[in-house]
Amino acid sequence: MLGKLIKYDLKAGIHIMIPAYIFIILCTVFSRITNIVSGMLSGSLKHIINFLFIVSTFILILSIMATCVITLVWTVLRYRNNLLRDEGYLMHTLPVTTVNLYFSKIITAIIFFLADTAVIIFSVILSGIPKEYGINWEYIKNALTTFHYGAKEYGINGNIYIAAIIIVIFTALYMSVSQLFASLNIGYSIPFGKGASRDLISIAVYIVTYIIMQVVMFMIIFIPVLIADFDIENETEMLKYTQTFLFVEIAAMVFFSVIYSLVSIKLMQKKLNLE
Amino acid sequence: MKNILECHNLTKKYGQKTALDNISLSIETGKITGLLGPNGSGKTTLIKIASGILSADGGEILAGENKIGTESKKIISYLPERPYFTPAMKVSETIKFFKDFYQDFSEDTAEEMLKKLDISPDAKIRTLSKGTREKVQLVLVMSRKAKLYLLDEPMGGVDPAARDFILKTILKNYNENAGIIISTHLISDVEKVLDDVIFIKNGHMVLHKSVDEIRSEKGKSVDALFREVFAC
Repeated sequence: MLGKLIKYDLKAGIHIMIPAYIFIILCTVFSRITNIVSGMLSGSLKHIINFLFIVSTFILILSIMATCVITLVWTVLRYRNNLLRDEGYLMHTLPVTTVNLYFSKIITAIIFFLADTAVIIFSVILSGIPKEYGINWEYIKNALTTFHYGAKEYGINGNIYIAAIIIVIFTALYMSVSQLFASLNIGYSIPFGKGASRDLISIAVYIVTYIIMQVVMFMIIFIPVLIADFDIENETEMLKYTQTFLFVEIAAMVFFSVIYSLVSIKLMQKKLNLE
Repeated sequence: MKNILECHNLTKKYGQKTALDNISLSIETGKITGLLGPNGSGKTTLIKIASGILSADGGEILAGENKIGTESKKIISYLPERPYFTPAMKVSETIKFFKDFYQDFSEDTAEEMLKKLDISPDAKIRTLSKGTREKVQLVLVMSRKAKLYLLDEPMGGVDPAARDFILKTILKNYNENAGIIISTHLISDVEKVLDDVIFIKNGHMVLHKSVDEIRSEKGKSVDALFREVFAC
């Protein structure tokens, strides 16, 4: 059933995201063509084409930013409308668990954020910028090899370090989305007020939980540095600390993610208010 | 006859207000039961608890011997008084949606009924009028071979001709193995199809009788009795 729920959530989002992705690719292609053509011309025509290149690049950057914002807004609105407003009369009476309803939204959000990233990376490669700066697969491989050897000299496992960074990215993504959903669930569980006031309460809850989370994360990550009296100028000590810090950060984000997810699921199970 | 829905001391509170106060009732299979009462009496609350939208604060409720959850939702077909499809969905997509999630859903029945209503499968929900959207929802709900149908104000806000269609649809899909609960204010319209009626007032059940009993004992229609019991 989770697969079916994800299918319909993806279908609902694809109508908005695909045109945005196509627009980014088209802007990239146009920008690249104008850049190449501009290099082949001279005189006033070169200036005109160069102007088109600058404008198209500007639009491309705006469209990338807009797509990320659209993904975020769509994620929030889809969750709110589908589970906390009138569409909830359908979704919460389907023969599926509340857990599945919740994770369908989380997984769909993560898929779209990853798709955004993939489109942006593809756009960057298509733009020819990496090639201009000599960045290719060989360059990346050499950089990774250098990193591994360097890390080894400092007594750090490079593979674990990179794996930890990747896990941090995914965990942070899950935590951010689950925090948004928990804020919505808290805002919409109040027994009074109409849509707009519940939205405002959800925003207020999000801001408060964000501040609390940042304070807790700061305490977890930076207080050990102060207590242990690290020598900040000692590269080996600091690199070893950052490796530990990554795992502590992962644990903290997992903790918050679990709390946010439990809050959302429990509120939908016990305090659902679609009125 | 077997009971398809059983409530034992069911209680639901909204803050200080008690919407349902220790209600106990049973609904038999093969019967169409009218859930009647004034605004705020607890009818919709009871239906929402049975459908799984709300959770009770006390007591027990069983649907087909299942507690309210995933298993009960497989056998309950619920029609709320609100439109509940994503506006961007097409009618054909709503049919596919029901087919995907409900094993007892009959695609052919739904398509046949929509064809009779002259509703295009390619039409988007947002382009349909309120009455037409309600008809689409009713068609989908009644195209399931469920054990219990919960219809919350199925005829609210629609024209008399549409009300006749709704009643015909309910009767056409009625079978002895299923129970139907209709919550409505339009008693005179729905009375002719009801087997039993339940009157709810301030979260309490004040009456649970068959329509025939009411007519023979009280010598009046359900509508007349309702006006008497709930006179302001």
